[in-house]
Amino acid sequence: MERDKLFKLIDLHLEEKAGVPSNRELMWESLGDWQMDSLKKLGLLPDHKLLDVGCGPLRFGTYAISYLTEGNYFGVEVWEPYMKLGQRILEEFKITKQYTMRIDRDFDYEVFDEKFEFAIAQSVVTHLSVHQIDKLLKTLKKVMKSGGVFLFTYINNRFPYSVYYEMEEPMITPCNLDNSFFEELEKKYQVKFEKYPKGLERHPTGQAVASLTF
Amino acid sequence: MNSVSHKQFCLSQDDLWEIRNKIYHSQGDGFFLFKGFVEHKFTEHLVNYWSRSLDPPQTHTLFPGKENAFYPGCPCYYKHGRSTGLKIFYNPLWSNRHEVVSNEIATSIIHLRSQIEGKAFTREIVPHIGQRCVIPRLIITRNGQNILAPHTDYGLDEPDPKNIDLARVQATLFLSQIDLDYAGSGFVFTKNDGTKIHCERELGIVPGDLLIWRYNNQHEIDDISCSDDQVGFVRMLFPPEVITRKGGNSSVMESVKYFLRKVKRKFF
Repeated sequence: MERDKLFKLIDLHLEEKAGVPSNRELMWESLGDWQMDSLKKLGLLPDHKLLDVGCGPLRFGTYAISYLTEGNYFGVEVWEPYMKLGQRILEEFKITKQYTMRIDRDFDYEVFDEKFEFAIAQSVVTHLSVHQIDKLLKTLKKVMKSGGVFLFTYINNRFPYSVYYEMEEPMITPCNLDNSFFEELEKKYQVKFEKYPKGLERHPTGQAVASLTF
Repeated sequence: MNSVSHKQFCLSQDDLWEIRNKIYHSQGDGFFLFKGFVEHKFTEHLVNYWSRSLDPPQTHTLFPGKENAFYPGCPCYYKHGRSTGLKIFYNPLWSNRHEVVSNEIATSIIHLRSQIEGKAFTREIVPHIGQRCVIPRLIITRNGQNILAPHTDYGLDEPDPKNIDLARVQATLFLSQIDLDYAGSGFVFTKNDGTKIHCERELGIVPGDLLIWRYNNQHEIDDISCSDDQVGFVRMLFPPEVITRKGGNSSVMESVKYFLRKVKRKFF
């Protein structure tokens, strides 16, 4: 990313009290490119509806909103300052298409009253407890179309870590996300698990990548 | 904001964002000065202890060089430049058991800094091999040219991308006064707009003031001089140092275990 653009993003984060400089800005393009490329390889088309779980300040939103038909992007995020920051970032990127974003802590995606062909969670499952992952799947099962694909990244920790996001949000990382864990999810939610879906590039941060097909 | 001190260092949200804007925003200065962070009796104590009372070999080991110096349980180190009078004390919190005031003040500054950086305070105060840990440093500079060459830390030009961290700030606790205890350039900092500031003179810094500054902005010290009856440029810094294994090498067994763990995580 050009230096000026990088520092503009940092300024916007500060002005909206959303965060100090971090990997969010440094990896803006590498992550966004990877997400867009991966979803396209999995079949994302402009007229599909996409749910971006943990959408942040619309980093991937800047790619997805531009690509999708107007109104087909839906983002959810727990960190409130990202709501306004997301708007300002889209203005900065001169993206005027309609989108929907809401602050949500309860995995309440039925509120959109939509059915999605695709969902993505980039560095989100990495910060969810096993209990929360189950809750996420339970909700996705209700809002994903049959054949819909949920792409996510994760880290298979040996034990749970805690994360203190921005010294504001306590979070728990999951552990033991091994094959048997996902086999259980497959049975429970009648989904098909695929680790490192064929054709996708390695994740820029080295996180594991997987998909669940509903 | 004036109430922030080494005894009261938890920032309100309003203060925190004001400080962050001044440090990180492109329109900000790149630094924030906490006036009177440490009271006079403490600065006097620290100067007396480190400059006048201590015979370093009694409590500190001669600094072996930065590579592999810092490991869990490592001792306090000192460096002494005989010709320039430079003294540097590296005081890991776990080993500096002889000067408790330095530890207490260091801890308050590390905590204050962690709030600004938005990172957990406990992250870098306990040594973990392969990670960084703050090793408080007390420096007495007396005479010399090109004391600290202009450079940046953790910036976009870091050769190893994993060292890039634009949130990093460094803190300088000033313990002596320019034009009274020493002469010369003092600490020269490049602001976010690219202009240079001679911090002590232009900001009116006195002993006990704490300057928190953006680590990836250029900083330097051109020259310092003092006479025999002056104490010199005395300050504390709080660099996060890489922690290695004692001796610096990991055993073959450890390497094999690490490799197996990686394989297990990838495939099972």
